[in-house]
Amino acid sequence: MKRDFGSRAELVAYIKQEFPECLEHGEAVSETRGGRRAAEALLEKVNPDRYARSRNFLSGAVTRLAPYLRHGVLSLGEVRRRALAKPNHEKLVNEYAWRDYWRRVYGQIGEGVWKDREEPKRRWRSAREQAELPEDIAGARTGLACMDGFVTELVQTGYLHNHARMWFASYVVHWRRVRWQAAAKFFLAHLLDGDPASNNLSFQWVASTFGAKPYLFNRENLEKYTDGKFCRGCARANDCPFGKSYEQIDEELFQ
Amino acid sequence: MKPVVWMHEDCLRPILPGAPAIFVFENHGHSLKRLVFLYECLLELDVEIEKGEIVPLVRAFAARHGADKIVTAFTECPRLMGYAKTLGAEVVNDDPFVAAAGPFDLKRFSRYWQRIERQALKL
Repeated sequence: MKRDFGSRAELVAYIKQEFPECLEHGEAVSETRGGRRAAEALLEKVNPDRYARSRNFLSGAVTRLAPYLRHGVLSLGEVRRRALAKPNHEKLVNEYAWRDYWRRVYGQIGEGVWKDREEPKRRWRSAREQAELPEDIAGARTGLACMDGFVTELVQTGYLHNHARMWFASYVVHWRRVRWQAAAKFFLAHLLDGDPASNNLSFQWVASTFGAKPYLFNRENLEKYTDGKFCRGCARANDCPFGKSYEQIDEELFQ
Repeated sequence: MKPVVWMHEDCLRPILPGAPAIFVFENHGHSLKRLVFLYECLLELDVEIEKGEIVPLVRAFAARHGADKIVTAFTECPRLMGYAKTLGAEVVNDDPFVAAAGPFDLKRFSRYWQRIERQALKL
């Protein structure tokens, strides 16, 4: 295939022509550039100390290395060693270890990542389960500014902060009772770093089919870590399904 | 020995610098944005880019270069390692997270972390 391109636009046009089937996932192209140079630039900026203190905030000092690790532009060994050379690296190295862990589980179970690893730890109040991702979710039309914002960002950029991934997964799986596989497939199609290991097993962790309990959140939690940017001006701010205590949410969702 | 490298999407970095390398795009359902990302990664590497079926294209590439060995990077992906097996490729585990030998108890992350923590936090 061709290797010489005058511009990124030329490359994009060539890929559309050579792989027309890819357009079923839309025509968005991420600002994130592929390649070692871009990965190196991000790696230089990694600050393990700030990461440990702020990583749960959408505005936090996260590394943005995931696509480069996913596709082996950088190795896990390399990023671990680079982290160790900087102060307060324990949390960051521990998070890198999660990726290594998911990969090892994938190596052990292969396509089993698409099946429940364990029985869910709680039963929903309603047994109804949706096999497909509802159109209002996939089309960013739920009216919930947070969830619609996450989907829009994911589809446009191929990126989503880890905390947003967890909130979204929890909403889809527990509030909307969608099979986690449907949401996992949607993420895999759009994330630049999507891989069946980290992606599917993280969904299973949220769903409690690979973890001790379902992952839940509430509005207070989401508002805190997003600096309130979604809740301000959300059309459903007065009808927010997350605006409750954890006890109330648990009671509402589970038997 | 005259090796060639089959580079796959789980390891887009040189594992055998100087050896001719090939990457093959399969029809694997990737989005446009992911394909652009992957292609940009490949353009920074000295690698021939093809699309189609991996096994015949890699075999033809090896034959064209008169290679007596195909080398590829280890991945946990069963599909890609299946191709490696069919190709009779030598699989190298290039720069793992930690060198600790298994088997590991993978029931929960905490057990895994407990086992590797000391090594992971040591240069």
